[in-house]
Amino acid sequence: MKIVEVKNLTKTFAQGYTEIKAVDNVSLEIAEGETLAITGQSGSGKTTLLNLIGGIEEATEGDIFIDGEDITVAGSDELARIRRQKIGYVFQDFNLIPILTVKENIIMPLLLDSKKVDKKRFGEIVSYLGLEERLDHLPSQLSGGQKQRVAIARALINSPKIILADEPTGNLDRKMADEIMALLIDLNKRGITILLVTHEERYGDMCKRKIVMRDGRAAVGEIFKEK
Amino acid sequence: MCCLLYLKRSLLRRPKRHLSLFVILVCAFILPLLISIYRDSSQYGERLRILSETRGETFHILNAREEDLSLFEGLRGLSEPFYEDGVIYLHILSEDEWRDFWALDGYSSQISDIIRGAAENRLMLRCFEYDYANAIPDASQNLQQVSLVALNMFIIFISSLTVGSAYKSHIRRFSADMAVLRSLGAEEKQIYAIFLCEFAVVFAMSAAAAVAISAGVMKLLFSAYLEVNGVDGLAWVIFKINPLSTMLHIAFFFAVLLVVIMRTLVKASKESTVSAMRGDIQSHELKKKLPKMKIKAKPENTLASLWLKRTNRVHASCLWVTIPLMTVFLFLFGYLSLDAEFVSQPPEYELWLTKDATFGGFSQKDIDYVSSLPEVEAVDCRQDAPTELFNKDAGGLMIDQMRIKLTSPELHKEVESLLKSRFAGMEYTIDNFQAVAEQGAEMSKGIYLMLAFIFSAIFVFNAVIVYMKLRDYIDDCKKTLRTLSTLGAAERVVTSSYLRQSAASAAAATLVPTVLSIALLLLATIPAAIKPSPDLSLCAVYFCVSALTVCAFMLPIRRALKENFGKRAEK
Repeated sequence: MKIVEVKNLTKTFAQGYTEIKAVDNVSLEIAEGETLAITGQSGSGKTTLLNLIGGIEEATEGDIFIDGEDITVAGSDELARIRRQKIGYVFQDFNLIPILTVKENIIMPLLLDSKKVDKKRFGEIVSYLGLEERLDHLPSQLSGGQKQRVAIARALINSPKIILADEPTGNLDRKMADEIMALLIDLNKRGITILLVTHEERYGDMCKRKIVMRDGRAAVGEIFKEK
Repeated sequence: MCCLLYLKRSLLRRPKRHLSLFVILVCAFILPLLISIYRDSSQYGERLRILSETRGETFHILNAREEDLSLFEGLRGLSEPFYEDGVIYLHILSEDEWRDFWALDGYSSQISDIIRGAAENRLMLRCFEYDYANAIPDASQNLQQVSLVALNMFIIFISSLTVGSAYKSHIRRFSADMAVLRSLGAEEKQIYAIFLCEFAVVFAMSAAAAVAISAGVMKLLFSAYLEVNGVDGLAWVIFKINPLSTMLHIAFFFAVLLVVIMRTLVKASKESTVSAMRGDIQSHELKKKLPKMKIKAKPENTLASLWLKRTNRVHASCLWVTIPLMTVFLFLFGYLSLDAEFVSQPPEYELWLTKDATFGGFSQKDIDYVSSLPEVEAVDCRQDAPTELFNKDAGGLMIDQMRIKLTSPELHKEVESLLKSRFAGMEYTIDNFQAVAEQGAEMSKGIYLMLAFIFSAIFVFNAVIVYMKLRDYIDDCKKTLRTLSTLGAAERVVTSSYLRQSAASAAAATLVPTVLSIALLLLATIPAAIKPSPDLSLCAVYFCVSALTVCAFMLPIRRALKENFGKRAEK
C-alpha cells in the first residue's frame, strides 16, 4: 500500500528577477514500511521536497497524496490535521519548544489533537529512547543527541504513518549520529515508514531505497536504487 | 567610521523600528513639556499681573488729580511723580533703600505727612516693597516653582524608565548583530558607540519635534482658550516658553535615558556571543521553577494557559507601562473635568461689592442706589470677617458686603462699570464672578482639548511601546510557531491561543486603571467636598479609553501572527 505518492511535483522560488526551480517535476512513491533516503548536494532541493511532502511548503505544481489524501488541495486546517495524525517530523535543529519540558514537548501532538495521553504508550516510547530521567528537563538542559531523541519521541507519540526526517544527524557528532540512525532503522523494522533526507551517503545507504537529487530533479537510473 | 556606517545602514534599513523609537521619545517628551510651558506661562502671567498692579513703582497715591502732582515734586531720594488715571506714581531712587524696610517706612511716613498736611482726605497712599513691585518671586513662590520642576523631573524620570524598557527591547533585537560584530573583533566600546550614536541622533530629532509640537499646540490652545489676561479674580496665564527651562528638561531626559541605555548595553555585552548569534536570546526568559501545564479540552485553551504561565513576562512588562499611564490619564481627566465644571458653574450672585467697614459700612443710600439699578434683581447685604470672603485684599477688621443678583447675567459688565464709577477708591472692591465663570467656561473647552492632546500623546506613547514589545514577543516565538505548525497545530488554534493570552493582559490594562483612577478621584475630591457623579461623557471617555487599550494589546499580536503565517504561506 502506498503511503506517499508524488506526481509531477514542482516548486519554484522567485530570487530577484529570476525564478529558481527548487523541485523540478519530481514523481515518486513510498510504500508502507519502506525506508527511502533522499540524498544530494546542498541546494539540490532535497529538503524542499521533504517539506512539500510534509505540507510545510506549498507546491507550485503537481500532486502529493499522503495515505490517499491529496494535500495540495487541502485547506490549512485539513493540512494541519494530516500533519497531526499521519506524519511525524524530525529536524536537523530539533525544533523543540524551549519553554516546554521534555515530557510536554513529547505529548504536544496529542494535546493539539485533543487526545488523552496513553500512559502505556508514552512509557514505552520514553523507555525505548532512554529519556526516563530527562522528562522534567528543559530542552536547553539536554545534549544534542538527547534533543534528537526527544524529537523522535514526539514524532512517534501520535503513531504516525510516516516519519519525515530532515538531516536528523546534521547537528550531532559521529557517535551520536550513528545511534540516531540505528534508532530510525530499528523503528522501520517495527513497521514505521521512514523518509530520510541526508547528505551523508553512508546513512542513505542504510535505507532500502535511495533517490539522489540534482538541481531539483530526481535523476532516475543512477539514483533510483533498490536495495 | 564603522559606527557611522552601521548607523547609516541601520537607519535606512530598519526605518520602522527607528520611527517607533522616534514616536516613543516624542510622546514621552510631550507631557513634561506641556507642564513646563504651562508653568512658564503661569509664572509669566503672574509677573505681568503684579507689574500691571504696581507699575514697578513704590508709591501709588489714589483718588488723585493732576494738580496734586506739585505736592510730591522734588522729594529727596524719590523719583519725579507722574499722574495717570487718578493715580500719582513715584518710586525710591536707590534700590538698596527700597529694599530696606526702615527706609521704605520713612519715605512712606514722609508722603503720609504731606497728604495730611495738604488736608486732602480723598488722597490715599499705597506702597509696595521692592520685590513685590518688581514681581520678584518670594520664597513661597520659589518653592512652588521648584516643586513644579521637581514634579516634572519625576515625570521625566518615570517616562525615561518606560522609554528605557522600549529601548531594551530595541537593543535585544540587535543582539545577533552585536554578537557578530564582537566575533569579528569589535571592542565593547565600539559597540556601545554604535548604539549611543544612534540614540543621540534619534533623541535630538525627537526633542526638536516634541518642542515644536508642544509649543505649537499650546500656542494654539492659549490663543483660543487658555490665556487669562487682565481678568480680576483669576490668575493670569500668558503663553511663554522659557528656553532655559526647556533645555534643562531635555538635558535631564537625556541624562536619565543615557544611564538606562548604558545599563542595558552593559547587560547585553555579558550575554553569550554564540547564543546571541544563533538568536537564542529571547525577551521572555523562563522562570526558574516552571509552573505546571494544565491540559484542557481544547488545544487553544491548553496553549493559552501555557503562554500565560510561562511566557507572560513581556505582557507583564507591557502592563507595567500601561497601567500607570492610563491610571494617571484617567485620573487627570476626571479631576480636571470636575475642576473645569466647578470653575465654570454660574454664580448665585454675579457681582460682589465689598467695603472696608473699619470706619463704617455701606450707607442706606448706597444700598438704595444699588437696589434701584434696573439691571439688579436682588441685593443681599452681609457683614462678615474678611477671612470668609473671596477677596482677602479688602483688609480691615470687619467688612460690609453687597452680593448682587442681576436680572440677566449678561449685564455684568455694564453693572460693574456703573458700580466702579459710583464706588471709586481703595476701600471698595468689586468682584465680578460672572466674568470669572465665563472665563472658566471658555477655559474648560481649552482644558478638554489639552486633555485630548495629552491623552493622544500618552496613548500613542503606550501603544507604540506595547506594539514594539508584543511584535518582538511574537518574533521571538517564531521557532515555537514553526514547530507547532509542523506538529499539526491549525493556524486558528495558534492564533487563538496567543490572542487569549493577550486578552488577559488587555482585560487587566482596562480594568485596573479604571478602578484605580476612580479610587484616586474619590480620594482627591474629599478635601474639596465635591462629589464626582458618573455622567455620560465621563463614561463614554472611560469606554473609549478601554476599547483603545484592548486594541493596543490585541492588534499587534493579531497582525504579527497574520504576517508570520502569511510569510510561511508565501514560502
